[in-house]
Amino acid sequence: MKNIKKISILLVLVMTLGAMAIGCSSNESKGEDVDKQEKETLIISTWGYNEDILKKNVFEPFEKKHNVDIVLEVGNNADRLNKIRMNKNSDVDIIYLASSYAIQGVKEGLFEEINRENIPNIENIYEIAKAPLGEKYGPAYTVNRTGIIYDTEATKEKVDSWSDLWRDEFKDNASIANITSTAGPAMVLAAAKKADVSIKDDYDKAFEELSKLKPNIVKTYSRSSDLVNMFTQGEIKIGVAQDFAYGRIKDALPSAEWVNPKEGAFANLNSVNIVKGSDNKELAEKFINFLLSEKVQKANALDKVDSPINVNVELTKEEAEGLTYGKDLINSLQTIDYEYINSVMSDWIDKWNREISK
Amino acid sequence: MKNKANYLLLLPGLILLGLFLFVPLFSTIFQTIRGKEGLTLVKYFDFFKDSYYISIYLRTLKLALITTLIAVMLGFPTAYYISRTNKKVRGLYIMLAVFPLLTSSVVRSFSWMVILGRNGIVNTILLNLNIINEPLKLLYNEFAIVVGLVYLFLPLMIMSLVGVMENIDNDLMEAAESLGASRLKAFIKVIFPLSVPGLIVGSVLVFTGSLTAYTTPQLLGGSNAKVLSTLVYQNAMSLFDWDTASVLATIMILTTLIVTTIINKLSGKLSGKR
Repeated sequence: MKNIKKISILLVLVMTLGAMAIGCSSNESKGEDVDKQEKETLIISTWGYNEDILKKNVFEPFEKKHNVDIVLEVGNNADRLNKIRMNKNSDVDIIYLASSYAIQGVKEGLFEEINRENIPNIENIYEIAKAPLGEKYGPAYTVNRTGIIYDTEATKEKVDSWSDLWRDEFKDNASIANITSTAGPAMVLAAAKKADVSIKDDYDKAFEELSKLKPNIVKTYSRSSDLVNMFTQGEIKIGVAQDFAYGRIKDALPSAEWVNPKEGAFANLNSVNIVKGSDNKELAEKFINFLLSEKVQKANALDKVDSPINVNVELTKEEAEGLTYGKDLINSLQTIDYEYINSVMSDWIDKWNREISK
Repeated sequence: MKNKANYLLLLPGLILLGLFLFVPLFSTIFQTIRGKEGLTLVKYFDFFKDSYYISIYLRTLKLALITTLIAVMLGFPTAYYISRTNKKVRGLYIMLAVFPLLTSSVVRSFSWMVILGRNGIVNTILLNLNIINEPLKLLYNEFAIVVGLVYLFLPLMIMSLVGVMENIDNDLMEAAESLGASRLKAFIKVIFPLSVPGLIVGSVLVFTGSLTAYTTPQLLGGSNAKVLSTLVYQNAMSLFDWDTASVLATIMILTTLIVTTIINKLSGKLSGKR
C-alpha cells in the first residue's frame, strides 16, 4: 500500500510538471531557423497521389526557376485541413484542397487573400475555375468529374444514367463513395435526380432513394485505391468514381468503361490557396501562377495526372482520353453547391450513417 | 536510502506516462463531462439512448468477444504444444507464431482480401471441388473482420500462454497421473489452472486490441459493419466533432476496464484461488 501511495504522489507531481511544461513550451521554439536563410523554402500541403510525376512536372522546375526548396506535406483533404486548423502557426505556405474542404477553410479564415495581379495566368483558365471560392481566394488548378465506371463484359445492358446503379443485376456488385469523401455528396445528388426531387427542397426523399440502393452496395469506399482494388479483385461490377481513378482501373480491367451519365457528371474543382501567416506570400503567388501556366498544365495532362484548366492547352483525342478536357465537356458538368452542402453536411452524414453505412 | 533510489529509477517511465498518456487522457475525458453549467453526464445518456449508437456498441463488443474466444480456442492447444517441445525447436515455433506480427496490419488485411474475395483462394477451391455453385460472400462483412482480427491478435495470445506454460513443471503432470488421475483430468486439474495467468494476459490483450482496432474493420468490413473505432475516426476527422469522438473514446476505455475486471474475476474462479 505504501508503495502505491508513493508512486501516485510521484505521478501527480510529474503530471503537474508536465502541464507546466506544455504551458511554457510554445514561446521557446523561435530563433533556430536564422542560419538557413540563404535558400527559401516553400512548404506545400498536397495529396500523395502521383507525387513522382508532379515532382518532375511542377515542383522541380519551379525549384530551379526560383532557386527555392519545396517541401511537401502529404495526406488526404481532411487530415491536412485539420492540421492547419489546429496549428495556426504551421509553416505550410500553400495548400491543395478539393472544393468542399477549401470552402470550410475560407469560412474559418485559414487562407490569406491573394493578389490577382500577381497571378496573370488566371486570365487563361476556364471561367468556372477562376474564383470558385470568391475573388479573394485561390483559383482552381484542375477539374475532375464524378461519374460511373462499370465492367462492360460482366454487364448485360449499357449503362448511361445514374439510375442504372439501382438495377437488380448489380445486387451485391456496386460500390459508392462514402459521404465523407470528395465524391460522396455527388451520390446524394444523383439519388435526388433518380427520385426526381430538388435536393434543397427535400433531401429526405434522396436518402430514401439511396436506401433502395443498399442491396447493391458491397462497401462504401473512402479512398479511390479501395475502389480500384474492388474492381481488380472482381468484388464489384459498377462503381461511382472520380475520373482520376479510371486509368488505374482500366489498366487492371480492360473491359472497364467510363460513363458520363446522361444527367451530367458532377464537377469537382481542386483549388490552391495560400495559408494564413505564410512568410512567402509572393513566392506562393508565383507558384500558383506557375501551376496554371500552359506548360505545366500540358505536362500534367500528358501524364494524365490533372485535367488541364488552362484554355490554351490543346490535346489530341488520344491525349485527352480519360481527362476532363474541352469546353463542351467542362460546360456539361453539374456543379455542386458546396456552400449549401456544407451547411447540411452533419445532418447528411448522420442520415447516411443510420441508413446506408451502419 | 536504497528504496528512494529505486523510485528514481521509476521516474523516466512515469514522466513519459504522465506527459503522453495521462495528461491527454484526462483532458479527453474531462471534455466529455464539461457542460454549460458545471459537470454533466448528459452526453453519455444521449449516447445510450440512441439505438443507432447502441447497435454499433454491441457489434463492437460482440466482435471483440468472439475474437477473444476464438483466439483462446486456437491459442491454448498451440501454446501447450509449443511449451512442451524442446528448447531448440521451441524458438523456431515461437518465431513462426510471431511471424505475422512482423508485417503491418494493412498488409495483413490486404492479404485476407486476396484470400476471402469473390475470386479469392477459398472460393476458387470450393468452386473447383463443386462444393458450392456460386462464390460465397466472405469479404466485407463481420465474418471477415473476425478472421482478420483473430489472425492479427492470435500471436499475442500464444506468446502470453507460452510464457506461463513453459514454467509449468513436467513432473506435475506425472505426479498427478501416478496418483491416479487420468491424462485429461490431470490436464484440467493441474495444467489448466496453472495457465490461467497467461490466459488472462492474453485475453486482455486480444480483447483490448480487437475492441480498438481500426485498420482491420475499416478494410475488411463492408458498409454494414461500422465499429466504435471507425465511428471515432469519422467524428474526429470528417465531422470535426471532437466532443462526440471523446465520448466514444471514453466509452471504449471504460468498456475495456470493465471487461478486463470481469475477466480477472472469472479467472480467479477458474484457477480456484479464491
